[in-house]
Amino acid sequence: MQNIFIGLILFLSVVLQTSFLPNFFPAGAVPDIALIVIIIWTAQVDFNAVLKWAILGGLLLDLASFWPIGMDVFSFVAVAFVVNSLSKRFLVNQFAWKFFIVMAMIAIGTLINYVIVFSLMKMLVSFKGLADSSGSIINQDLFLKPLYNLIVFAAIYWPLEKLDKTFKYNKRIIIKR
Amino acid sequence: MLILINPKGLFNPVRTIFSEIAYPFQKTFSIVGRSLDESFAFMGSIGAMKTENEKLIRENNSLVSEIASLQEAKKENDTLREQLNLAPKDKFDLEAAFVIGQDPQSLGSWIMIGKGSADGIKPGMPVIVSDGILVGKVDEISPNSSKVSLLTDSGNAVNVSDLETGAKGLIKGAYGLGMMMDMVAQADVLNQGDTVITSGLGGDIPRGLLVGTIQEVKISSDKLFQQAIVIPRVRYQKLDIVFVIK
Repeated sequence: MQNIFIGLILFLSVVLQTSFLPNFFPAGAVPDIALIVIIIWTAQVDFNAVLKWAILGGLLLDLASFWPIGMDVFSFVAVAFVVNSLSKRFLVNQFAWKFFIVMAMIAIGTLINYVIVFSLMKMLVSFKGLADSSGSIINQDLFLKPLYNLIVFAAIYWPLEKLDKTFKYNKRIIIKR
Repeated sequence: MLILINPKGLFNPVRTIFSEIAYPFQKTFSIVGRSLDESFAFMGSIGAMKTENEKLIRENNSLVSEIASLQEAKKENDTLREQLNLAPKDKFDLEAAFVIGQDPQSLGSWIMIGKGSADGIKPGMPVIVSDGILVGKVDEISPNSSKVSLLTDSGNAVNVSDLETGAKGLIKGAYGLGMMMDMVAQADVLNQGDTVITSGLGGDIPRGLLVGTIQEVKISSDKLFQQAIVIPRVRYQKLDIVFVIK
């Protein structure tokens, strides 16, 4: 049940990212809502537990965004790995500052994702012999993306936390039985 | 490396299934998002309306006196339209479609429309907006939705010509950043501000569809051809309804 629910959240995140959010944000800086969801989960559980969700999230985004399958999968897994390493280092000691630490991880994860996707895109363009006019990696999207992702993070963090607690509570009841 | 060499068509069946499942959600979210965006824009403008209303009353008085002179301008405008010889929209078999999705990545350049093979859409069909402005071509289809590669996509190439000088070339996308009119012979003339239209060469796109305006003219790096940076006539991010030419 929990797996289906998580899968559904990822699916809706991807649909929101491709169909809903582009109405409000400039092209190129549309928030990566699926990535944000993955980062929030990664900060709370073990990397192995979140790996399958990172792969699923990336796969769904690849399917929805018409890029070669594997690009977002690779990026999401890399981000999950880095975020998980950081959360082990910081979140255990500073749990009271959890919200702000996860916020910092969102910013870092966004930048890593941006750099990976941009680099893979450059390689793809070069590999396929297409005209590359994508410009420098340092452009305004590099600054806008983390900003917009943080705004979306602030909006979905508490509902996701609440959901997580609900599932944990239900699990505890089942164990008692 | 696997990502780079994975054949695009291999995952098409999976992508089609995903598109079919996602289609109702995408359509709903897209419509809701657009309505919300319009509502926010409307509410944001309420404060300014009062001031604007007073300003408009003053302007209205002066505009009445300008009507007479505009009648003359209208005649001139009609003549120019005839001279432009742009493709009349009504001669095409058009299929209207809502835009239900957009590329969230900065480097991509596509939109998803809510019509697919079930509506007779086929890959390669040109897509225009209501004014007869070309925005892209149908790239991939599923039964109820299609991916349209915009002119700003680097994978797109369309034969075009300069409306004023007749110079012919090929327009290519620059990954969402604009378009480049390339392969224009050195002897041809390109001017800043000229209008670029489709030339009809190749037969896949009809002649006379508006593409954009030349912003800058330069020489290609190999010094063999002229190039021009072309600015699209529409903001692709704000497209609501498009028409597929069948």
